[in-house]
Amino acid sequence: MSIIHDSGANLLRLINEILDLSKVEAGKMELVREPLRVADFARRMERNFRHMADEKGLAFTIDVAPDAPPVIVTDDGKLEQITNNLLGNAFKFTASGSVTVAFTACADLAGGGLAIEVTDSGIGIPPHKLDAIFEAFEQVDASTRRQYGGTGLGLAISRRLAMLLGGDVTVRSTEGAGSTFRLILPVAADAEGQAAAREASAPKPRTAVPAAPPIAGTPERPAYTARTQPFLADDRSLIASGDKVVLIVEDDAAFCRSLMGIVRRKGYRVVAAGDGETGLAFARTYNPTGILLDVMLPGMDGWQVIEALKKDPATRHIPVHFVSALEEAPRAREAGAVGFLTKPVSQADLNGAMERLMHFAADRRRQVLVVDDDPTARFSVRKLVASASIEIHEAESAEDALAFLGQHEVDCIVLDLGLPGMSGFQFVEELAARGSIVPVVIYSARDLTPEESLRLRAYTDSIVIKGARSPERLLDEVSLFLHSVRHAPDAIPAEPDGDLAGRRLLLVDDDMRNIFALSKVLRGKGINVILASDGTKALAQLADHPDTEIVLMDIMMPVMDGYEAMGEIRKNPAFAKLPIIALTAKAMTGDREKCIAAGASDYLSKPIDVPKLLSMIRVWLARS
Amino acid sequence: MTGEGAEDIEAIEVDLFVEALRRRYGYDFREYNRASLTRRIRNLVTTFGAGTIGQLTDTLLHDAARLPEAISGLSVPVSEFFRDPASFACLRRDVFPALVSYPQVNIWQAGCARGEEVYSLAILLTEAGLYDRTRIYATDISPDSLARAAAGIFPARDLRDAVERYRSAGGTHSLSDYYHSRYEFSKIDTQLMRNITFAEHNLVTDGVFCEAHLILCRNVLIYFTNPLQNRAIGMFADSLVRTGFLCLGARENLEFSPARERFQIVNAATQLYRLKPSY
Repeated sequence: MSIIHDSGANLLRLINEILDLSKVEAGKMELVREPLRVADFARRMERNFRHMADEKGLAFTIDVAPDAPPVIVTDDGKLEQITNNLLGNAFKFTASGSVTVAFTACADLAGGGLAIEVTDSGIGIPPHKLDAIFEAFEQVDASTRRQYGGTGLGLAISRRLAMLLGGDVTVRSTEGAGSTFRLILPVAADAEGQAAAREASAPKPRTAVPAAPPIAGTPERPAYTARTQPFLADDRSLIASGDKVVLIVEDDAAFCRSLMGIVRRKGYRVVAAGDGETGLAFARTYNPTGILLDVMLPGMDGWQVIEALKKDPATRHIPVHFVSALEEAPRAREAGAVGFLTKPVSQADLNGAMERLMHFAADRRRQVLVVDDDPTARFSVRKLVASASIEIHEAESAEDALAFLGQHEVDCIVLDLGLPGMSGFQFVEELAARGSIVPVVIYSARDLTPEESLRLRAYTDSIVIKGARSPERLLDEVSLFLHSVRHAPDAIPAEPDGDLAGRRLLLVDDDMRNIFALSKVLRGKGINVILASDGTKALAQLADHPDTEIVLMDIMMPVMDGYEAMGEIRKNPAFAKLPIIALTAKAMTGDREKCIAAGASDYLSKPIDVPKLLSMIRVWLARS
Repeated sequence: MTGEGAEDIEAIEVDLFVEALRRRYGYDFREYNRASLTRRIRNLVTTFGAGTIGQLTDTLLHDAARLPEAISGLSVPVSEFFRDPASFACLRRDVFPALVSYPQVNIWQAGCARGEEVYSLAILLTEAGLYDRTRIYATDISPDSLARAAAGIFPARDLRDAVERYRSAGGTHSLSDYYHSRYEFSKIDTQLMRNITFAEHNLVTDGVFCEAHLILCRNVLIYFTNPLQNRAIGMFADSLVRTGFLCLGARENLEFSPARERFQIVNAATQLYRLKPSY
């Protein structure tokens, strides 16, 4: 039974291999060339064959020489097919001893190459068979086939694939002592062809580039033409696991060199690329902690690079900082960059850029600032929150905290309200006035009045009252922020558009999240926002601020609902024409009419569509 | 006329009734469980003194004043004080201590009917020292039910019968501390009513209106078909604060809801869930 199964499987494999071989010979095999990190590939080999070595009791070592190119541009799948065949044979024909794989530099190929040597201590090959072994259906002899199985096609295919990749497979062997198969591959596909291809496709550099006729890149997976000869002598061969890498994409060699110096002084490894395509390929290969990116690059420009980076899930998280001759900060921010520097830049500017890059890096330690005048309380928060990935800073007053924030970037602030000098309330207001987007968790020793929590809720939605179960919640709130700030902020507040700046608006809502979200947006537009959490309080606010220009009125509220509040407002002749926009969660027939009848000027249903709300506010504030 | 034919006519009448209410008034009962809805429509035919569902539809189309009565009859007004005491005991034990860390607590009782459970909850919150900082939104589709709930007047027997359940729910005072009785009726203490907002809200058509730390919706979802259940549960998830609580009826659960993965279960016996923090 098992023989029948084996024969069937053998026949199937034979058919597949014949098909493969004929495809290669007909020039129909399609290649997808992409940068491949040699160390990763070596690890994969180890993973694929370790169990086989263990099973047969063979020593199995893989060695990557220091001079081996760290990255080659090749077809990963085809390469693996070749090495699987070579290693499969090595294990198959070796009964005892060892199988070793060595990755070394290969000087035989123009433009640099990689050699992968697979050495076994197996049965070896007699000298007169060495040439024939790469021919289809050749094994040492018929008895070999009976004893070891196989189709006799593997090596033929491997060699043809290697040639297709621009390399070759050769063999040395001593009968009875073992064999060494040597696969050589170019670091990159034909350089001349590539340069020509890049020139030809310069305006649209992301199109697939045929490596060499008749091979074509498959259209679904765009092949990047990437240079792998170092643009400048960088650290790519020195990178050890655990090292942090910064990628610099800059075509001005002198400037690039000075950037490299700064990055190295900060303890990072540098990989440099002189053009966008290479930069993009390196971003995928080296998974850098951050990228310094120029805008004006040969071929693909910086905008295209960042766009491609942000589109690819594998590189999306990497923070990008622009360094460019032209001032285009808003566009950079829109594209998802964490910062923008305009050349010429000072040393201090670059230090700042590096700090920003590292601040947004995924694997850095999160920074938490604890503001509390009581050292015991600070200590207990530190004990609760601190970990290997979270660093705690302490401030004993709001003034100290503001000074600290002037110098450092933090991810989250834990704030006590009862502070000497400036109060916690003033502190959050001051932060907002400075345009800070750092999340704040209030950790209060006392209960808050509804007015106090309303005042705070315009700035934060995390308020924890100290008590038996509160440490648990504090930790929840803090870790929530630390986990959610993986990337640069997507919305930049402040920078009022101008047209709404200085207008006076009353926002009436009992839903604290709406208060929080809407007041943030509206204040970001420069609007002076005052708040009320029910109808009665809204009337009181209007009495205190009769110059209010527009009201946003929720309908379902405790104490006095929106219908009643609008009725009361309209009773005062001074407010007869005050625009009131009703905000309601109710969507039944007649709800709109009910709002208008109660005195609303207009109506918007929840959840609130912010652009729609803004345009509605503009309409009602436009002076006829 | 065969029995089968009679059923067909009733099914047609129910369809037309549902369509009439929806197009005339915006009340949408299409996704209510058809069997229980049909039963309640039949009851309405009797209370309205209509001969057929068709006649009932005709009355409602032309007489808007009678709509609240019909909505009341179609919604689910049946409840009692401290219904499912184990569930209240679980709130007291597992939920209240977590609510203490919020400066203000919002609780939404969806489908509050005549208010028995809302007042039960207010009593337990008072005893836990939490009521001062709590706002309860008690909503229902039926304005009649809401009006009765807001009045806070119940047959005295209802409260007498609740004493045992109040004890099993973990009540520590005397239930009579919370109401005054005269003749055969009991009036809930106004102190207990001060932080409750009664409001019309339709789980079929309306949206999120508050940020809640705890939502109770018990024995309402069983009258809904799956799509409507899913809509309501999604709205609950959207209303809750991070790690907020949701409590369903003992015979209801989230297992087949698409929102299931947004919740973790706290207590299966009392169908208490907690919204997972979303990172």
